Order: sequence, then structure tokens, then C-alpha cells
Amino acid sequence: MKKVSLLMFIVLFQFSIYGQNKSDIKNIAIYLQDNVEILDFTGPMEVFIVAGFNVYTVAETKEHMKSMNVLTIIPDYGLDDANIPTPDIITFVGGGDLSEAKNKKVKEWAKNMASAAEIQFSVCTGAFFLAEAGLLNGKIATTFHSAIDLLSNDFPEIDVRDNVRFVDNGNVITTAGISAGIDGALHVVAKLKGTKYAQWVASQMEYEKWIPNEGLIVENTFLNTIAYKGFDTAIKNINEYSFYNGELLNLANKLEKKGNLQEAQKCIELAISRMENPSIKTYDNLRSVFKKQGKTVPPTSDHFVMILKNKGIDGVKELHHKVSREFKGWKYLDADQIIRVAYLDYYQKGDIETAKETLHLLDQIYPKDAYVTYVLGLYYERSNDLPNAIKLYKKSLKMNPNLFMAQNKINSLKKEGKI
Amino acid sequence: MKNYILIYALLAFELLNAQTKDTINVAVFLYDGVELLDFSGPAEVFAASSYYTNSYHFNVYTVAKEPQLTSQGFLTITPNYNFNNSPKTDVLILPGGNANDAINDSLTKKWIVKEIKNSTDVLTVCSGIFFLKDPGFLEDIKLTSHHKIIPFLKQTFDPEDVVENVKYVDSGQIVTSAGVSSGIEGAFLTLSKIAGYEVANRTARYMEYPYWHISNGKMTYSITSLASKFLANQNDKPKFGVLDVAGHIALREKNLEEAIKYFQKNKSLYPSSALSYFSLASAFKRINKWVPPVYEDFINVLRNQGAKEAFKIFQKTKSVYPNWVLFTLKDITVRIDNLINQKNYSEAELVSKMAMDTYPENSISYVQKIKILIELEKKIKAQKTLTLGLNKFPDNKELLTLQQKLNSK
Repeated sequence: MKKVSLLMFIVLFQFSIYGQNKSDIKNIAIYLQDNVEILDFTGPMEVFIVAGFNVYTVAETKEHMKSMNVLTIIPDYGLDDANIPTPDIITFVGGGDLSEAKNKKVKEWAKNMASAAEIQFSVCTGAFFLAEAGLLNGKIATTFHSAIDLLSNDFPEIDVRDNVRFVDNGNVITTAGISAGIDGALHVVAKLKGTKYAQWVASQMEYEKWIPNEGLIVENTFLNTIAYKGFDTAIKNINEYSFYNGELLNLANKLEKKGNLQEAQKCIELAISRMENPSIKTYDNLRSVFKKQGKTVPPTSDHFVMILKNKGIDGVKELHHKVSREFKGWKYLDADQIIRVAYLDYYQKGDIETAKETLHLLDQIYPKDAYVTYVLGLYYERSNDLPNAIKLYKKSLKMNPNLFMAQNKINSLKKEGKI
Repeated sequence: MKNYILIYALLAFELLNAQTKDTINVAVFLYDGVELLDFSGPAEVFAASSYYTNSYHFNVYTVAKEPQLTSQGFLTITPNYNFNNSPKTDVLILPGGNANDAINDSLTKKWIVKEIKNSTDVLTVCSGIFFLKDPGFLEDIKLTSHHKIIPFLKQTFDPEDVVENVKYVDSGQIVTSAGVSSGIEGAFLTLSKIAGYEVANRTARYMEYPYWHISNGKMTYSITSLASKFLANQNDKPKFGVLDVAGHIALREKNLEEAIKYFQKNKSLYPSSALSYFSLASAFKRINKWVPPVYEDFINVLRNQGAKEAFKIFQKTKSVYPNWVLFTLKDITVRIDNLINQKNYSEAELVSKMAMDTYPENSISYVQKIKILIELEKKIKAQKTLTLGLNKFPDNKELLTLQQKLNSK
């Protein structure tokens, strides 16, 4: 029984199947017009940063600009900059002079960037930027409560809805006014990484009033096909569909609740196969359906920590050696937890070598995690192995060019003449 | 675009009006590593609220030691002031984040202690509470913070003083909020203690933030005892919100007599504020007394039932409650502007009559009335109103322009 299930698992992992969309979404551009409303962009920005995305601001020029006459911001990029990273998600927010959405240069840029981006997201009157660029035609949309009439009068091709927190057309998501941007951004996170992950983000922000799916969501054909015709039928034409990993995980949670565990497992495995660096939270979904099917699961992260405390690093290494062969690729260690334990129990007590070894173990499980690599670099630096530390800092920055901690580290080492 | 042009016109009007309002300096303290939503939530609340209060103008600005800083590693900000040139603070906002260096910095400590002494209200968000620890501002008060910080607070302070599972704790001058987004709610509470409960409600509605309610937090110090002090000693005029919030808390506790006492007192302190009557009316309603629709409610009658119906209420109010102010100057001005835009001049004239009657000392009432009379071709009446207006406001540019227009006709 155990062997069979394990085989299936590996076979599924070897499918290199992808839907229409890019599964690895990282870059989120937020366009800031003059006198932009503060919470319109800071709310979603906070959500996206906590959720681990790379967020940057773009404005017409790179000059200082004002938000509601209160905040003075230096945008990361101006429209003329050649080096603006191509966004996976482009965000337009409200406030300021609405006619900026008609500004030729902005409109042109919005059109180009928005069509390059996988997801177009707007908050409040930011919907006018998407509307001007023609991206809402034939779609359902919403905006700030007192701009609803204006949007529907000026753009008859848009189905404008009132009294809804957000509208999700699949790739185009618009939200109601100001604070609704927070809810909308959490919905985007739920779409990409799953509702459980988004709820974790909300709890970090103490925004526990967030209710998942409390908006208008246009149904997804792929997910519907899985739900009504089964996973195996849906998968046949997978390349015709557009869907996101979080949506798959959410469907899996629904199927799991209904007791349809095999289908749930297939959805989770498909989501994992599309992820570059899945987290333990994603694997927790798999753990749950495995357990319910009576299949064996790897020990939990807590168990590893217990072994570490009782038997030391060698005990953990031995266990990891055994488990990693049986559960290939499975993320059974909680990176945050292990980093914390290594820091408190070893580093702070002067045992840098064990802290290093613990991080090495973590690195084996998360070879593509820039933060894990960065922390490992820190321990190398502390144990006076600067050449290896620098290698690791550079490696982590290569994995995530926007890991500002690694960037700062390299900058300060350069300043000291050590690089 | 019409709607928006109107809003811009109003903002200009708002700027003129700012001169007649009490300015409240709201300092948002920033440092490298500050959490984005911790400071931007409260900044949004105060910046947006000025539009909804006729008594106060919130001058919101940022202060930091650094000439430039990055919030959460992503947003680059240039602060408006540094420690040497920042204005005297009325409301101090201390956000959380990666704050260790800032908390231990001696210049920062010095500035914060100085500005707390200047402030009437201090709002901490999340780990921002630690700015108050060393200077000793947290001794013997109830407090809260982010759920992950609560265990630490319990080790440091008397565990009985640490309040869990609330959005904020009001300890008088100091309001501590829970994590990150909770700062929005702490800011609504602080705002309501200054400008009144309904101003916070209207700002929340504007921000489409449906979650704020005064009971989401804990009022541990007795705002009521503070309010009683003001009742006894009339020399020290409190901010509008103190008695107003005390009254609304009494209302919530079904202590109607107490609520009415506070609202009556506030009405005598702020007789020209429509908000005083709004709160009083909400208490009178509970004892089944007839009350007119006040504040936004009156504007809704104008909008939905028309000027004639509203005028009837206006007349009845005059006989039952002489001197009640049913609407704010700004709201009525917007309504008249709307009617002028819709070319509904007869309704506009009637609304303008009520506006003039309530706010005889304001030039904008004259300007609007004359514009309407010109449209209605009541030239003599327009001329008469203009003369009266110019007597009161001889240098008013808009009145002078209207004079030219009338003379040329």
C-alpha cells in the first residue's frame, strides 16, 4: 500500500504540465500617480510584502511625489526607466487627478505593461486606468462608491457593479474603495497561494475580519471541469485553461471536506508541480489528505525540533536521511521555525557550528529559498569564513534579486573593501 | 468628470475653510524599517477626516531622524520634518516595525519624550508601544499590542494590565493598538475623541472600512470621569470629541440621562456645530422625543424627498428647538452646488434660504444665493442680496465678480 502510493506520487511529479499562465509570480508593480490616496496603495503593498512578493513602485517620473499631501515618496522607477522589471501583476490605485488615466504616456505604458502582466489589479478609482487601457471591456468591474456611475457612464462596455468588495474575472481584479484594496489583495494572495496562506498573511497583519471569497468571482472553467467531470478529464486539455495554484489548493480543500480525497490529492500535487519553491504550508495540505487516506506521512517539523533538542543535530541528520528518501521533495521542515531554533538554541549560545549545520540541513530541503541561503551566509560570516559567506550572499541575491537584506549585506561588505 | 470637478472645487473651499478651523498637528513618526500599514493606516484616517469635520483641520505630516528612509525594505520615503524643525505635536503616532535601533537611539528618545509632553493624544501601533517603555509612560496603564508581542508584555508589566484580543486600549492620553492593521481602528478612536464619534463613522464610510466600532477596543481609563471634570470646571474647554464620545459610551450602556447631560453640555460648548445636535438627537430618539433629521440625515431628506419637505422640517425644528443647527455649511453648500449644476434653481433657492438663515455670517451662502437669483432672473432681489453681502464682505472676490456680471446685464 505504502509503496504504491509513493509511486503514484513520484509519477505525478514527473508530469511537466502547466496551464496557460506563468505559475511563478514574483514581481508586483504599483503605479503611483500624483496625490495618490495613501491606503489605496499601502494596504495592498503591505499584503504583498508579507506574502513574500517583490513589490516596487512606478511613477511618471522618478522625482519625489506626494500622497494626499502627507507622504513624500521616491518611486523606484519612472516611466522612462529602461530597467523596470516586467511585472507579473500590475496594480493601479485611486486618488489624485483622474485625468492622469487619460495621460497619453501613462495610458501607453499601462497598456504595454498590463498586457505583459499576468494579472491586472486595481483599487478604488484605479479602475479608470485599466478602463482607459481597454482592459475592462466586456468584463465585470467595480470601483470607489461615488465613482460607480462615472465608470459605467464613461465606459458602457464595462459591466460595473455596486456594493461588492471586489470583482475577480480570472486575470482582471478590481476592488471597491480604499480599504477594500486590502481585502482584494488578500484575495489575490488566496488565488496564487491558497486561502490558508492568505489567512496566515491576514493574521500577521491582525486583519482577522477578512472573509475569504467575499466578492464577485467569475467561475473558472478548469476548476469547474475538475469539480464536475473529474480531475483526469480536466487534465487532458490543461494547456487550454488559465488557473492559479492557490485556486487549485482551495478546490482541493473543498474536495477534501467532501471526502473526495483522491481528487483533492491530485489537485494539490498538480499545484506543487507548478511551484518553483513550495512552502511547508502547501505541503500541509498534502499531509492532511494523505493522513485521511491512511497513507504514511513524514514526521512534522515539531517532531524534528524535538529530536534536535533531545538527540542533537546528528539525530536529526539521521532522521532526515531516512525521511528524505521516502518522501522525495517533500517540505517537512518549517523554515521559519528551524531558523528560529538554530538562532536561539545554538547561535545565541555561541555554538555557531551547529547553527550552521542546522541551516545546511534546511538548505537541502529548500535549495531554492533565498532567505535560507542568506541566513546560512550569515553563519559563515560569523565563523570567519568570509569567502563562503560572500558566495552564499551572492547566490541568495541571484535567487531573489530583491532580497534587500542580502543586497544591504553585499553593499556594506563592498564599502568595507571586503568584496 | 463632473463629479470630480465638484470634489476639486470643494477641496479648494476646504482650504479656505481651513483658516476658520482649529489646526491639529498630527505627527507620524517614521524610521528606517517602519512597517508600512502601521503608519499609513492612521495617516490615511487623519488625512481623510479633515473633509468630514467642520471644527478641526488635521495637518498630517511625517517626522524622522533620517533624511530618507525605507519602509519594510520596499517603499522609499522622504520625511517632511526632522527633529530640529518639526512643528509642535498635538497627536503623535508611533508605528511599529523593525524598531530596535530607533527605540535605543538617544536623539529619538529625546524628541519623543518632548513631543509626548506637547501632545493631547498619543497612538502606538504594534511594536511602536516600545517607544514608550523606557521613558516610563507605560507604568500603571492598561495596554495592548500585536498578538506575538503580548507574551513579552506580560513578562514586562503587570499581566493584569495587558489586554488581549482587542483592537486598541484607550488609557487616556495614550492609546495603544494591536498589530499592523489595528492602527486604523486606534486612529478612528483617537479621531473620534477629538472631532466626534460621527466624524470617525463618516471617515470610515468614505474609506469603505465597515469594521470599525467603538466597542472593538477597550476604554480602560474613564473618559467619563474626564468628561465629568469638564462639566465641573468650565474654564478648560475640551475638544469636541471628549464629551461626545463619553455621551455615546453612556448611550451604549443605556444610561440615557448621563448621555443627554454630556450632549447638552457639548451643545452649549459648541453651539454652531451640527454634530452637537446630531448626537443629542440620537439620545432624544431613544426616549421617543420628536427630533428632526440632523447632519447627514437632513441632507438625505433634501436629496430624497426634496427641498419643500426639508423646509417643512426646518420650520418645525425652529419652533420646537430654537437655534438648532441641522446641517453643516459644507454639506448644504455641496447640495446647493448640485442643484445649480442640475439647473434646478427653484429648489436651490429654497435650500439657499435655509443655508442663509443658519449661516448668515458666511460669504459662500451669499455667493450661491446671488448666482441662483441671477439664473431665476430675479434681478432686483439679486442686487439687494449683493448689497447686503458686500456690506459684510467688501473684499470678497466672488461677490465683486458677481457685481460686475450684474452691472453688465
